[in-house]
Amino acid sequence: MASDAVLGGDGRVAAGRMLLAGWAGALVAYLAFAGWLLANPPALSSDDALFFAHGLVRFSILDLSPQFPGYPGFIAIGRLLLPFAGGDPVRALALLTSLLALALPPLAACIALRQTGSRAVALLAFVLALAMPLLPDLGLSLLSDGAGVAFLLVFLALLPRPGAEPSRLATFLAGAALAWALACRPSDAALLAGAGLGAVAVRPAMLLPLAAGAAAVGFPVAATVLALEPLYFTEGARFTAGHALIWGNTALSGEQTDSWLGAIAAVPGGLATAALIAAGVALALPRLRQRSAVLAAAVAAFGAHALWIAVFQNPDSLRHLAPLLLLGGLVALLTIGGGRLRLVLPIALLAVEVAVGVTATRLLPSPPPLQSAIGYLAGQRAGTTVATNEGVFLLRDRLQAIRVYDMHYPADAALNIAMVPGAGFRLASTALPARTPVAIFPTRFIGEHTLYLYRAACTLGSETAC
Amino acid sequence: MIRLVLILLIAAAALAELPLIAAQPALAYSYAAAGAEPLLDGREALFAAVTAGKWDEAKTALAAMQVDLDYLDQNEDKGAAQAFADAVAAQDAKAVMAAFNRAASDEIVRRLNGARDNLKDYQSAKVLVVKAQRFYTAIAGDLPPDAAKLISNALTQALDAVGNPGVFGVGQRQPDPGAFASARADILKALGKTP
Repeated sequence: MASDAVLGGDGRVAAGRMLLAGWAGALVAYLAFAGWLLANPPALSSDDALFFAHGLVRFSILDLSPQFPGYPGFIAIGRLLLPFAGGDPVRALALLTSLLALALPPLAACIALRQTGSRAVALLAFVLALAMPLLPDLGLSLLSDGAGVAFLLVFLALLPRPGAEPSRLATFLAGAALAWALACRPSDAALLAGAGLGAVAVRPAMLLPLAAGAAAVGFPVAATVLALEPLYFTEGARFTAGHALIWGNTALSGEQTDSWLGAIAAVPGGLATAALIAAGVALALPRLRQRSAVLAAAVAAFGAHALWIAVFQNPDSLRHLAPLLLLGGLVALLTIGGGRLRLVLPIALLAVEVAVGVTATRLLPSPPPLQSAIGYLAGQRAGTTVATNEGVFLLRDRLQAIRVYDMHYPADAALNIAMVPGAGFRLASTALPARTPVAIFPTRFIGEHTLYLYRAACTLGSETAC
Repeated sequence: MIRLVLILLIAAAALAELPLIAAQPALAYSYAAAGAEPLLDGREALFAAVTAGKWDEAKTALAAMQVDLDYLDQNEDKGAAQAFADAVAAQDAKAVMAAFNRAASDEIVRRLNGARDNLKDYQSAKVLVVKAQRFYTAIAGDLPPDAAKLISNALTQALDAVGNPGVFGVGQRQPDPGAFASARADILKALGKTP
């Protein structure tokens, strides 16, 4: 950093010691986080995770194994890990998502070091990525989000330093990394397209090697997916329309029960984090004239993803914000200028993220709320009924003696529960007004939902929903 | 200027935390949504009326399903439509549910039969089995858990039996009529139908 040069000999030694101590502390925190991740039981937390587990043993997108868009890169790496997980797809998924989450802090540090040459900034990037409140969710939800972000960071790490000529080989590999990120997480297409276009916009010479690298990965992956699932585009049209317009709780679905602003504000510290991230990106905009490929890629990816999730993603799934948190932190660090206030924003962001993460994370290893609910319901007598919107497929898969009704069809659930003698339940992610839950299954970290189990209230002759 | 913007933004962020908006978790995603299925949409209206004991509304809901029920009656299962009419006339909720399960079973079998008859046409066969599977998913809660599991496994077997044309020979698998017939027989048995 600029201030390093003006320090005297003693000052340099003291600064070096502080930096060393900082790295030592960061590594201890990193190892503690890794230990905590691995101490949590490998467990499916949602229907999506169940579909990924199915996809590791049988790839058939039409019957949700996994769901569209198939996530072929993620499934391929997961399959490679199967032998290390004793052939158990849930353990393989847990191993994969934990490793991907653990890869993010070192990758962020690599990018910062390569772009700024400062170990102090690299340390801050490492710690900011480690403190990201959604990192536990990326590691333990057994979903593909971490894969897309990890390979996006690999792409950024391979981009040229400011002022340096891009190497063709590095740019080719960057293109390959971007395509693999897309293969892992096709639903992050806007994020990844933004990153590629942002880099090319400031460095047009990178277009050909970048495209060649992307094609070298993209074409074989696309051909393989089409070979395994020839009706890919048919299912894609159905799924995309259904997700966007009918069942996805998106801004276009007409029945959106939450907004992104509401979802962020519901997290203590969420608005502060969002404001700091937005400030960091806003302050970076004038720096785009410096033609830094990484900065342009990160800012364009940030903007494209923010727009994409605002319109096409479900505010119920906070994990979609993870790329914004990571990129926002990186952008704030890469645009650190001179003056005493240069570190205020990244350090404020770090402080807020640590506070948010620590207060919302359960330190004692525990299963996801849905698994806790499954454990409770497994103790009920055979034929017990439960109506829910949460994890219908997972509940049916794990509770074979229990009748599980999908609240997408509430009248079906109501009549059947009203007709079946004995206890019926309603499992909800919302605390239902004026009703007392028989059990509450709390979250482990930000991104999960607390689940509430109620006695079902549907009886014949009543119009009350279950 | 930049310092001022920074300080203002940080102050705004801190202030914004004060009035935290209460959490309003949204209703969840449902992959079980079967898409445009008149019989399932009709089920919602019919069952809501039956649960509330509003039998006039039940008759109206039944009328909206009549075209599909008549089709099943004429082509798949004679008496399927009359079972609904009798159940609603008798104001018998249990009989309404039984009539629906009968019609839903007919819908699954109809699609499986279509897939069986078009097994050499990968696209038609696979789409029909997937439609049967989505229909099954929408009624899985209505079925006894043992039967539901059996049908779920057999539908997966039927999907695999459709085979795969692949791309330039990669991923190619020939359809397996024997495995398909076995899966279909299991499903019909679980649904209480004669193979």
